[in-house]
Amino acid sequence: MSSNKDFDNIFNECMERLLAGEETVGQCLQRYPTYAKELEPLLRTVVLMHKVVDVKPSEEFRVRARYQMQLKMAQTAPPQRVTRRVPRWAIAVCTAMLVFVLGGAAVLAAQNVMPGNILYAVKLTNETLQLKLAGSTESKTEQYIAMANERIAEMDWMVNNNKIQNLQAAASRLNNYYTGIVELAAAGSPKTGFAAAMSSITSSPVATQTSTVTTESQNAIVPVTTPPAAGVTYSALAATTVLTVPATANIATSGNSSNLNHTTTLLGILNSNAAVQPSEIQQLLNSSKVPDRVKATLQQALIQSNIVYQSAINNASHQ
Amino acid sequence: MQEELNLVQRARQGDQEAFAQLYEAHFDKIFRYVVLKIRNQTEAEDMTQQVFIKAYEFIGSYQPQGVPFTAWLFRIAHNQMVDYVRKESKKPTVPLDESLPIMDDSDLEHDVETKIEMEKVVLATKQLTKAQREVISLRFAGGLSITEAARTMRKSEGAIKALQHSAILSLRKTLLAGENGVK
Repeated sequence: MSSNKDFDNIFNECMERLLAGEETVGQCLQRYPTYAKELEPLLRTVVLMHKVVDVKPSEEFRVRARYQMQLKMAQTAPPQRVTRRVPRWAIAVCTAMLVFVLGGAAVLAAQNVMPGNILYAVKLTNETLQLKLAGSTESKTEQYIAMANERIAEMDWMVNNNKIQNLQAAASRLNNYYTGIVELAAAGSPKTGFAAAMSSITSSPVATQTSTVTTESQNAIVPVTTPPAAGVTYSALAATTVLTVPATANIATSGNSSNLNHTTTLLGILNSNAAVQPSEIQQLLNSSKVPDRVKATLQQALIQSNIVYQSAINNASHQ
Repeated sequence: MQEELNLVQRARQGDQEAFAQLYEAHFDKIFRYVVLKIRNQTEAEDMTQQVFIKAYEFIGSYQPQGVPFTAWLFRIAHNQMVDYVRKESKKPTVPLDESLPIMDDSDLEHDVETKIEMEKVVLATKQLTKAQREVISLRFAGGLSITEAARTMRKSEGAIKALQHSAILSLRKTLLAGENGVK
């Protein structure tokens, strides 16, 4: 076999022409009959690869991404070699004004739209913007919970209206929100209320998805009783997984009263949603209209929501 | 090429319209490169956005003499993916069949067929070396030329051609073995 430079160059030349649509495999082989036997299988593989990787972004994503890029450009001064630091509050005010003046109507109109609607991208962008503008860990967590509520409501609507093509995207986003809450807790200072309350979960066995059974009285046990959908191969999330959430953290041990108020408010929100969100996800999991691949993601979201809410409940009870 | 250089020059000086044109020219390629590597549409969408936001933030300090704009952009994408993989390795694995993208504007049957073929190719690429895989991603998904791929990977053009050849050969063997092994 000739794996020398000449062959590499010939193969590359044929490949370039194939990819550019200037030549067919047959035409290339005719030009290089000496190498035809060796070239043909490689060029056929190139054609297959070219066909397979022809993936395009969805129109919804294209619109959303463009909108966010425009927002980013509007938020910041044109890029320069020497940049001046702009205070975060100024960016927040400018962005809020921009959205209000230029896109206020669209944002308002988008608030209640469902996936598939042309304004849905605006709704998502607006939510993301609010998340970015949320200053504290508590505010960000509140926004994540609000976004989770929206996604659950949308999934419920999609299932009831037989419009399930966007279910997977909604389920993935939902799962990401809970991951976001856990990461926020992990990143926060252990001395602040919420971070202290939640930090225990990041060092628990759950963080590494190790299935563990415990009988220690101070640990909360969150059984996941939903059987996995048929054909779903999420080995780490087996039907018998039992998660443990150590309930040892004591919130606001050294925080000031403002921190304490924030944390108390947030724990109230977490508690009121604890009874709702996991059971709503469970209902979606029970629906025969939800495809298995979506159920696998929902199962992860359910586990994560249980971690988040159970931890909050435990810590509230230890106040 | 000259046109892109002019756009880059203008974007570096703060011309948002020029940056918007660069964005439109490279958006699909970056998305394709990312989605085929991480195989999760939602994450790939987020990451594609992050690549361009980062490019916008840093284009003021980008030096065209050092590396072509396309290569620079793909290096940003590559670095984002390295960070992503590092984070993901700490999370539970995502089932393969739910992670590949579904195209919106084509029929379901075609989608499924494409997805199955894509799955086979993705599995076959796992047999490649890291460098071979990168060349294939840059050349096919990213649509980069040999020169651009060479600059992105900091290798000679000859080395990229050799890697490309050996990668396709290896893919061919793996795919054939898969076909013969199924039945």
